[in-house]
Amino acid sequence: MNLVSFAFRNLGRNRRRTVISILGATLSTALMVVYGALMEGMMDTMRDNITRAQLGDLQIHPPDYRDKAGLYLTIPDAAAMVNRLEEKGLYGSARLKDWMLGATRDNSAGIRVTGIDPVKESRVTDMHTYIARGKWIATEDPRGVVLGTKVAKNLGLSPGDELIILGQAADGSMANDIYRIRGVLKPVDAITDRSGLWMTRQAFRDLLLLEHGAHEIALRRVSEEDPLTAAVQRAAQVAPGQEVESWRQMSPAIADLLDMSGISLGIMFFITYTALGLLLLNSGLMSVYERQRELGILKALGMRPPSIVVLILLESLLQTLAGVVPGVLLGVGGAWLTEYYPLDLTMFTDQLAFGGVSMSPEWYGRLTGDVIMQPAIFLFVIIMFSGLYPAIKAARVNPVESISGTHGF
Amino acid sequence: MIFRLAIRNLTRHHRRSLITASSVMFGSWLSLTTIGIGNYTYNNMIDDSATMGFGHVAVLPDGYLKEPSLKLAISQAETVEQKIAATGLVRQILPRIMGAGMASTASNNRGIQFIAIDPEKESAKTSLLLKHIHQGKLFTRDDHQGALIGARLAKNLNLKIGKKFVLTTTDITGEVVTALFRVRGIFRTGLDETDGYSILVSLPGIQKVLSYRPDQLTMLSLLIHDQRNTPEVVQDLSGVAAVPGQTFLGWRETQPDLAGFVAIDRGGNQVFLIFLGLLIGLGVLNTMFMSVMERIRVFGCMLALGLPPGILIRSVMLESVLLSTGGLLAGSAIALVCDWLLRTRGLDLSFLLQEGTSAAGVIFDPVLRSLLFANDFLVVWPAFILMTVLASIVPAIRAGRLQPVEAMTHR
Repeated sequence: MNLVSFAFRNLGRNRRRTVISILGATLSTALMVVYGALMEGMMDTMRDNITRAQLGDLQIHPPDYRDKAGLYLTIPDAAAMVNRLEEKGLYGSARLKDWMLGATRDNSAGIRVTGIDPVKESRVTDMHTYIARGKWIATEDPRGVVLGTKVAKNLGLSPGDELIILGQAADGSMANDIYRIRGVLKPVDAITDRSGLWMTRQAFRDLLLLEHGAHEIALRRVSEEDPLTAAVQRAAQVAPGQEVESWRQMSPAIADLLDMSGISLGIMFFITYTALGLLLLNSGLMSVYERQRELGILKALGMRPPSIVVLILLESLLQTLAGVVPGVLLGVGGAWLTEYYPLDLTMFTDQLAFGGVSMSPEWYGRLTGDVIMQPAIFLFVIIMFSGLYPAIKAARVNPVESISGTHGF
Repeated sequence: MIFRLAIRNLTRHHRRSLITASSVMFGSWLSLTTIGIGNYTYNNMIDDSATMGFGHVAVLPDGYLKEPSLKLAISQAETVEQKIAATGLVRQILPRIMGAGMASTASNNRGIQFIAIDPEKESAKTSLLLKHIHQGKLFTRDDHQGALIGARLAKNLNLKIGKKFVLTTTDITGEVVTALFRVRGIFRTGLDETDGYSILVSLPGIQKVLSYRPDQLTMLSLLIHDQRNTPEVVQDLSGVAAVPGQTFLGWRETQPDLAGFVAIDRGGNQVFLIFLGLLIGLGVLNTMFMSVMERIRVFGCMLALGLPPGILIRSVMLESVLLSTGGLLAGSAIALVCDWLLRTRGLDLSFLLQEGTSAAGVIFDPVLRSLLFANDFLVVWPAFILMTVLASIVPAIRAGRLQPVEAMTHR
């Protein structure tokens, strides 16, 4: 007996109900694919913002630097180290860092000055692409500095304006000089936004009279496939006695948040598909109820209960397949659109921040295999669950009672 | 009679009615609980954020938000304070001076934000930082050198209780000034952005350093009874206590990041709930169609006996309204129980969230709680009833349009 053609015929008999069930499956699948893509996009942006913007994949610091960071705590042979790291498959950028006072005519703020080699830095991070106004720093313009978005606003500075930087030089003398704002950054992270200032490495050395060493080496894996933990180990071999940490170790809250995004997606799936399950359960029960006389006859003719279970499940499976295919197509279409046309959240806010990582209010989606597969798999599980009860109900029909219509369902 | 007809039809297929009602129950329960949890989360974040500096409402010098500067100050603070207090709209009036600068010790420098407070008016209830003091204690009003600093900043600057540091900033004329402070206490909120950045100092002390007069401040930070009334309070206060050169601003203006987060999160939830309602609506549509189709002969009979089609239509629609009312009652009851449980006990999610997980610069409470308002029911109930009415219109009209003869012979 061909159960499949049986199932097809049953579905065709009550078209409206079938269409409604299919519509439900289509809508939920499409929505979950788009939602998944948006979540994936957000997580990607966060990961990018944290690693590509300024942290890099991993960093090397003098021991205890993160708590005790100061001008004198340096990695002595940083330049040579960067060369050796490159041989080990890691691009490196040696950075100089110190906190100083940035002052304008009316106002002042503590700023974290970072001195870098723009060429080397561009291989490690994408800071140069985070320029909102003006230009990124350049070796040939040692007086030009770039400011974080909030500190620029708080000090009332725009590209072209001047800023005085005051601090204490390595020899104990007063360090101060006037710089010109060359560019202002987009939102990056809490500290960069409210106090970040970037200048060329030479400008930093000249201002603070620090001839040698670096405070931090930011690293990026040459190959994306290179596992992070392996990269940390190799860097540790090149930099004995220094502290080597991956971005996950430096920002555990964000790393956790990224790992956890699956859970919130799972909750969404669960809720949506429970509602869908109820819809399907409803229509499954209806269709069994309506046919109890036929089912009685089938049984009287010798059809085994397991076959009936399979028949009913097959019906829901076919309905689902009919819903999943357009649902996935619709979802993929929607998700694909979000890769090019972001959700514009600027009407709500200029800037979003999660766990101290700033995000642009343009929300891009990202389509991955998982984004498509997960809703589809979830859907099949739900179908099986919501089809089981009507199927068992159908298999238990008593032939005599149901044919004579003496037994209510 | 319509009512009796509808009830009888529903009880005839109690299983089908139950499944449909249960989907409405599920949907309304979920909507209400989601809304309740959202309410609490936002409320908590807004209240926490309010105690981090700006309050629910802030009285600020014009132009301060655009370019915060210590050159901008409000004067006659006490007069304004009295006028505000007289309205009774405000729970706490906190005079403050906020500014940026640099803190230095022999070993290090850090950029900081200072908040100068009147210690006699502040407590753990008015300042999140004071709520989280974990070493030492708050300075007194006369202790002009006293300071409270974050745990991370203390580590960075190698500071302990009793140690001193130098604050460098610009005064009201734009001159760079320095002043010596001593650490009286250390707070630890768990939020790195705050623990490594903020310090609290005494108001009279900083007024001297900045050459402010005693009646000059950068702001009055106001805490109100219920943050939801912020816009109304801002409007009322602007009417009675406004002084030229000063503006009343709500938390949405002073903390736009948070306002954006709340709006986006709430918007996302709404989209999701509307979609869920749509799914449930499809279920109701399905059921109503089923129940109409199988009663075609019955309806034919009724119409033949002279029942006006209008009554038939209303009866079918009433069926679906009753279905959803039943589901709503049950869903609301479950939601109330959940709300009560979450309100009194909460659900501890700290095993999922790292300490210090934050959004828009405010820490998430790792304990899930709920806060349902009567208003929420006034949104959810009509929405579900409307949805079921919409879902039943087509089947109902279909039933009303039946031709008695054809319907009675329908097979």
